[in-house]
Amino acid sequence: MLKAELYRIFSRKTVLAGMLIPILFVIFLYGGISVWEEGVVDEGRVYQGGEAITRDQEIAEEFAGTLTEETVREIWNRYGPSMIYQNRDTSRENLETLAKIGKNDNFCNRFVTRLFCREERGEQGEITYVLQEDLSENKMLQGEYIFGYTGEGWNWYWDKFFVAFVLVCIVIIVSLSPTFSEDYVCHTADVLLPAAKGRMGLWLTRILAGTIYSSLYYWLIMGILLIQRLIFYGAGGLAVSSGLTGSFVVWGEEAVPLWKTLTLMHFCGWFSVIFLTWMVLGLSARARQTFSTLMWSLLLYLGPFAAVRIILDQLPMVFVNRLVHYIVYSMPLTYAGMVLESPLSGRRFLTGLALAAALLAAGWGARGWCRHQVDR
Amino acid sequence: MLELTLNKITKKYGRKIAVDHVSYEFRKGVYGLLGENGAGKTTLLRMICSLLEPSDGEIRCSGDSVDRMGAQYRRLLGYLPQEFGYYPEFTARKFLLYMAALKAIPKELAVEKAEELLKLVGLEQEQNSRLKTFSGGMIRRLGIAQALLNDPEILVLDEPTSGLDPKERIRFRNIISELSRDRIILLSTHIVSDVEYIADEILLMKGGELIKTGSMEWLAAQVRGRVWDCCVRPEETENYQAHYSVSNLRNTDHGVRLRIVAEECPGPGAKPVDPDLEDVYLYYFREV
Repeated sequence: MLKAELYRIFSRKTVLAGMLIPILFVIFLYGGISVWEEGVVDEGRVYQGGEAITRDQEIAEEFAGTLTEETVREIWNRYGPSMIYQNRDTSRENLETLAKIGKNDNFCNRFVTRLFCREERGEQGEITYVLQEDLSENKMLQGEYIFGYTGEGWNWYWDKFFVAFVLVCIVIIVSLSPTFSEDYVCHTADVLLPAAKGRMGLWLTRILAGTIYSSLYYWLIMGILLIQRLIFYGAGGLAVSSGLTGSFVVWGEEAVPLWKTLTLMHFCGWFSVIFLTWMVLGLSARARQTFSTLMWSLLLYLGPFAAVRIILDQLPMVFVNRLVHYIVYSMPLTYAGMVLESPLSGRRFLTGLALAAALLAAGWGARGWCRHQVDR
Repeated sequence: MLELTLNKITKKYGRKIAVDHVSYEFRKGVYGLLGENGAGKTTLLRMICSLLEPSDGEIRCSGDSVDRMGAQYRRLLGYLPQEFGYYPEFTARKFLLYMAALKAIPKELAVEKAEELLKLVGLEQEQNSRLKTFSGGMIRRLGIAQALLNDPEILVLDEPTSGLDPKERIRFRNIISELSRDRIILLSTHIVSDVEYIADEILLMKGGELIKTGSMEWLAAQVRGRVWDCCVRPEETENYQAHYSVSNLRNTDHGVRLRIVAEECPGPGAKPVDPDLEDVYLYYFREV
């Protein structure tokens, strides 16, 4: 039965077409375009694409290790501020203009500009970056943080992850919405429900099939994303402290290496995908049309967060409002990010809420399917 | 011995009563359920197959409530619904194996049964074709095959021969006759000939109630003396049709031969004839 259910999911052409879109998106946008936009100006020479990454890695290698004030100042003294930090134009023309006037732009000086400089506006509104004079109290320079090359690939990894994650979730919603609702429309429910295992047995098989499908697809996309980073940017960035990468940072643990943060991020994303799967299947079992399942699933996925941001954030943060916030944050769209940001007690609470919501949706769906009345 | 007992089974939709306090006891044999559209036949069959909860009353299988039996009762069932749904991308063989798994049939036995049934219903050559390429008759035959997969002790067939040509219909009748020895077969149909020769009992349903039940011979005896054969002039045909229930009309060299169902002799020259099941149907379902 499990094989048949998986076959049923994959036999729909819309599913196959839908699955392809995020795959192509991740490969081309986060792979090809991301690398293509890399640019370095070093000692009057311009590097682009893969060459820029290699040169950046060589430059950063010299400063890799425990991040101290000395490291920061040395980078500053050698390379000065990043000249295209504000508007990152890595076209050949722009980089050559910088090279001619003896400016430098590389990963290291962009890093220092981002984290340890302040902006100053000149008389004509031009922005310059000035290294902060007193860095002695800066928590990143107390010997706990590890510096190294991360590049555009590992930096702001959360942004890339989140876009891919949302695409995966939309594909899952589209793929799994017909699971039960198709049976109502096509009248297959009439022959499935009277079968010995046609109720709870079939329900459990479909939950399992849906979970396997969504898990495999999620890990496929995330696997492509990770492998691309490793191929183009190397594995060295995974040892760098998360707090330095501009990425989503585990609450209170900014110094942990990036690989730990990414591991937690991906596992939280996976749990979100499973919770979403059970919710979509619950809705599918209750809706009589695939289209309504699709609409309700999308609304459930995106609606609560939108409602919080638009309405509830404007209201006083009393107990009820705070509780509603937590419930919304435990929903699949925001679960992964909120868990990363939360202390341990918060993570447990969010996970408990998410699991309860998913089980409730699944149970509600199971009841809907098992007690479905064929009364047309 | 297996018994299926309906005890005042009722189904209401708001004020409309689709099935009205139906009580009956089924034992092994073939039962033909006849009635007009909207009589409540399909609703009754769905309740028997646990697809609908009765508003009132109870269904028992050998003394146990089918509600309480749950999956145990459903193991005994084979059901072919009026609208048989299928997955278009599945092949016939794959669909039968899928249904076999749902009916808790072990895999080895399922493969054997699927092959046997595909042969029985004449779909052996098309077993690896996708169902979306099948004609309506082929789908119907597949539906019959899936209903028989678990060798059910209670076989419920709703309009099983709809879409089948006469040869297929005869083949189906013979299959049912063979199977009827040790099981309860409940067959709902509009096609009188489907049940006339094979049903042990006929159940006539009208307005949600069973108005008459009995063997073919017994029902025929109830309308004996009320079925007439006469020959009329062509210009009189319309008048007869307006006033009587005409079960058959045939043009001959001597006029128009009418077979009429009526309480009294419809006219001079009309002779009483032995009623068949169609006459019985017409007698009980005619507009008064």
